[in-house]
Amino acid sequence: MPKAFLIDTTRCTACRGCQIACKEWNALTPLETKQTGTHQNPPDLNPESYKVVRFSEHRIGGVVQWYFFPDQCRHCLIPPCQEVANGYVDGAVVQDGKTGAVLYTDLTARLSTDQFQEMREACPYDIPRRDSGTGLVSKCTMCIDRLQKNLLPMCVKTCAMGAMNFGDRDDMLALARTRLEQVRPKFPRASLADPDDVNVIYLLADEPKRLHEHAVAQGPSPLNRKEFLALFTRPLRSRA
Amino acid sequence: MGDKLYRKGQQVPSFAALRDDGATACMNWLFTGCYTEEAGNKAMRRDLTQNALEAKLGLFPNFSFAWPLNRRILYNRASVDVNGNPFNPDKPVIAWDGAKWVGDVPDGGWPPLASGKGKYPFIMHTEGHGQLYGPGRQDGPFPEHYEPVETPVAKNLFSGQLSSPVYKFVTSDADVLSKPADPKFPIVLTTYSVTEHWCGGAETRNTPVLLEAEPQLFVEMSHELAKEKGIANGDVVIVESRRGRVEAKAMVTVRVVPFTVQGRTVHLIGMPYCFGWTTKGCGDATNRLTPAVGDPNTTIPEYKCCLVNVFKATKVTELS
Repeated sequence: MPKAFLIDTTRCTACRGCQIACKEWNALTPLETKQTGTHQNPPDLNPESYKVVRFSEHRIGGVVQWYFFPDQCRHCLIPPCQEVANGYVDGAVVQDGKTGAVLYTDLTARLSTDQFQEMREACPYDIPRRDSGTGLVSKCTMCIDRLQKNLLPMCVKTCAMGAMNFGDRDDMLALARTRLEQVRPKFPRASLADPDDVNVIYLLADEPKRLHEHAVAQGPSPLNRKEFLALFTRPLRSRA
Repeated sequence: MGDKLYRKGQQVPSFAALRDDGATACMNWLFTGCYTEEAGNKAMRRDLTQNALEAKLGLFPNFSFAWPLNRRILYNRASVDVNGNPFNPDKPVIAWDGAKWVGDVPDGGWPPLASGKGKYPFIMHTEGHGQLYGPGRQDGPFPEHYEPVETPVAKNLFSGQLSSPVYKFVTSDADVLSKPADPKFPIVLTTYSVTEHWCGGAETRNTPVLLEAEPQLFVEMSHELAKEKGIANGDVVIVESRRGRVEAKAMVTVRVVPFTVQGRTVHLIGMPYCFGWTTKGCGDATNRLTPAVGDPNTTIPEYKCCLVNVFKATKVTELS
């Protein structure tokens, strides 16, 4: 049974414990950042930051909405990054059969600049980042080292708010549907982000773009996704 | 305890079992019984079961733990009459069933007052009664609205007294105050903490992952004020009070909106106080702006409100 995350943005308070715990567990180097007029820092994912909590704020109908989006690799069921990268360098990206974790290997360093660019553009969520020195491509590893010791991923372990959840895929899907139904009255525009395609399922508090440009996949099959969401919301609508 | 013997290394179930002869050890008596031999860590409990009486009040005695002794409402016998009957039968906190208290854990287990063996419910007060006010305060007896010592208004609409007549203040050459409604400092500054830094930040600024997440002094302001002052998000600005000035990065946000106070627009800005010159490039201390004013009783600093002005910086020296 593959594993999955449920990231419930309606519960996230942007404490950024996940972002910092990720960095600590993976021994990633903190960068010298600047205050640029937002609490979002580091400003984006980078080879030393597998996880960034994205901040967005809106005044909608006179009401302030402040959204937080703990961004990370979605561990796609069929990862486009793997298709592209392995087309050039076999074994650059592997998928762990037991957990479904999508993992970048040292072979990613052999990808040319253009090949990496193609790999990054293939990602529907703009996740892969490359270290300009070593050439290694990196991102969230699902804490595969911790999973092998029966420990939770570090971001899930550290989350005090119940925003980060992890478990068997079926359980997480069930939890996602339950939570979506629960939050609907307070978050009428809430939805699940691409639950059929990814193992990191977001419960989005509002329209996807209001949380993050790449909250849901851009591109090839928007109709399928819409169809899926329409199916999903139908029983709720008819009940209301 | 009862017929049970507790040995060295075991947790006693209640503070009543603590001894003053060195046989027991305790850091804080209130939390005795939070970890017990029988039930483990009671703070971890998530049991939502309740009886009919508890359901009426919305009490969940099996969820987590409340000090002391899992009592949920202090002085709870104040909710019953001399016979132990709840004053409000629809919302009983506690009740005497003829032989014992039912409901919340009683705050003192004596029988009702009518028995002659009872005690008044406010057991931590000398007289056993509730108090609206007590002796020993500089002001009072009842709460009064005063303006902060530095205030954007010249008049208190609720009384003739503008600010507290008994606030504490440090007197030195540097400790000066703006006059009420000072036109040179028309903006209200409030200060606060951020999650990433502890207090003044002396430790957390030296923790690279925390400094990465919250690196430099910022000032949150409304879009309206930013427009008025020609400030863009991320600009370096100077914030100035009668006592000093600091550089900060402007954070222009919908989360701050201008107030209308006594018919006039008053702008609010907000800054954290976790930065300082000992960490290079992060900005200087917000304490250079705030007044050394303390509340009359506890001397808690009045850092939630003082008067400042803000303008775009032409030269940057404190921020990297």
